[in-house]
Amino acid sequence: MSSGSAEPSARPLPKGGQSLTAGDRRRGRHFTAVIADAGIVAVLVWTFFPVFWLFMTSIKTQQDAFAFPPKFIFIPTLDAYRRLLSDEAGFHWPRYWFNSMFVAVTSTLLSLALGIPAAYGFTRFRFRRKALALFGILSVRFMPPIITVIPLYFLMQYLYLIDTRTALILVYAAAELPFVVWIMQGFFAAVPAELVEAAVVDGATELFALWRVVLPIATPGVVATALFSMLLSWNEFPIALVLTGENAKTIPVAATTLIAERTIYWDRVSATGVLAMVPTLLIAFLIQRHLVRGLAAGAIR
Amino acid sequence: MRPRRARPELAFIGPANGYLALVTLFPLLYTAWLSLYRWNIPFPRHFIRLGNYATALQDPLFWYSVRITLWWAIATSVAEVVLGLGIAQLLNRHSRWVHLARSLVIVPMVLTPVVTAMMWRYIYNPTLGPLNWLLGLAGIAPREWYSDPATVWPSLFLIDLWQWTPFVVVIVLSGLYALPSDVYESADIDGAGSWSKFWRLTLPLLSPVLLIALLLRLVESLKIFDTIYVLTRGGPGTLTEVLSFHIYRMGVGERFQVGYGASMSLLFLVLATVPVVILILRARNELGLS
Repeated sequence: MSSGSAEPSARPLPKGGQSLTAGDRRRGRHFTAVIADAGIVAVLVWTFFPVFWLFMTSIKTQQDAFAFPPKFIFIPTLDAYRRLLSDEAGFHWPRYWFNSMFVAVTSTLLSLALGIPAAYGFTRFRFRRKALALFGILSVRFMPPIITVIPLYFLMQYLYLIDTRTALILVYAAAELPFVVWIMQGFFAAVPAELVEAAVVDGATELFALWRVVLPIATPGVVATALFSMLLSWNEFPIALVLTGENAKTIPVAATTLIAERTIYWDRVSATGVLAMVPTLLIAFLIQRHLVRGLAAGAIR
Repeated sequence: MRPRRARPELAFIGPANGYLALVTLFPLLYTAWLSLYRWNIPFPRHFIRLGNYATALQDPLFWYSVRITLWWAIATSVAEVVLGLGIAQLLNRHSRWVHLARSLVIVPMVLTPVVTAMMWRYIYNPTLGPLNWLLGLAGIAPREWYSDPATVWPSLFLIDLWQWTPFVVVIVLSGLYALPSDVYESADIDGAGSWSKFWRLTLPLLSPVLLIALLLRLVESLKIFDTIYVLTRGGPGTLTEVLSFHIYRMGVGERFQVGYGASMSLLFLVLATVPVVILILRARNELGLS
């Protein structure tokens, strides 16, 4: 993976991805480009081998999953998935899936409801200590989650919210909020200020301008932000571990209880993993274009 | 901008700020208050001033946790930046297949960390896992990857690299795209080779981006918890008991010494603030704070 073997060109290329150097041409490839291609293949194998293995194990029978050396030729089965979509001794899978999705969607809605106006406030107005206020919001994002679990546990106990989805929604919304404010601010800044000014001169209130002028233009941004935010919630573990019991348990927490059993049924562990992956992969596909902006904002950790 | 009302922004940013204060500032203050008590649930609470801090700062295990957490964060983030820079160079071309590869390499970082850890736990499994099987084909003896003190760190390290190197790749690729093309053109005219262009042009021009990527990874790596929880639970012994897991185990996971856990939480916060402050000072413009 020597960087020297890479294609030297770092400049943006003309539209249509026309190649400029020998290494880019379909035919007559440069030697270094071949090495680079081999490197890319190696990276992809390294990336997808674990995922492939997980998927393969998830469609094995319990017996095949325990076979060693591993079987490559076997009769695939959806047994493990069937178990994960129904209730069984000690596990209430349908509830866990519902919890994870409900918390992801609802906390996202709450964080958008609070974060969109805030992002608008930060882009539209100039005021004193703006940088400080933004810094304050952003710094929440960087706090190690584990340091909040002890006080949050007592807070939720005081509010009779231990082991409820409400507790997770309230906490996750706060965790997503800094990210929503930061990323939406970028999207709002791309909306021409004249449009807002024109609306306000015509007598619209700021809130109306946000709702009817800015938001429609920034809709793709809102969608991307919402997807990022749901990803955060879907993947969160330590807070859910401490704040939930059986009732509000989310998928990551339920998944860890599978590996805490005396015998680990790898077919079911793998199937849980694959099912949990589906929404994240879908989101990854949809937000690719906005990934860089999201990453810097701490969309994914 | 428009002096119609005194502070029009308040109505917009007020609710978000208020909510954040409620859900984060309050817990922090409560943690500070808790940290002054000896409170080992279910026993009653005693005010012991800074006693918990003294206990933590005199506990070799606490310092060990601090050391390995720092070591972990620095080692993983540096390795990911170096590896990510290399992979980004491979992917910095324009062809349909390279574009496809670019959207495929991002997959690991969107996966649920708990799921990633479980997946790797199966790969490392001493009796069933593909790793020992593959090594067996090459005639290498099987190992207990994550329960053997000799291999537990490399095993954890590899998982982190697998999941988070793509993060650096994406950031570096966007940084490469923003580099000025004219310097490369004049370098081409001067007949510079690709190796010298990388060291003389790309690396210096990219260094601000690399620094930000490094700091972002550093801040996140300090928080490591999920992988430890799934694979080692701090073990073997307390070898991999990083700070997050140590606080969890002492505070809520096993011992229920909530006052003690609270005091260590605040110490952790101080530790974690250092790279965040550096990050914000360095990346003020990119973060929209200037």
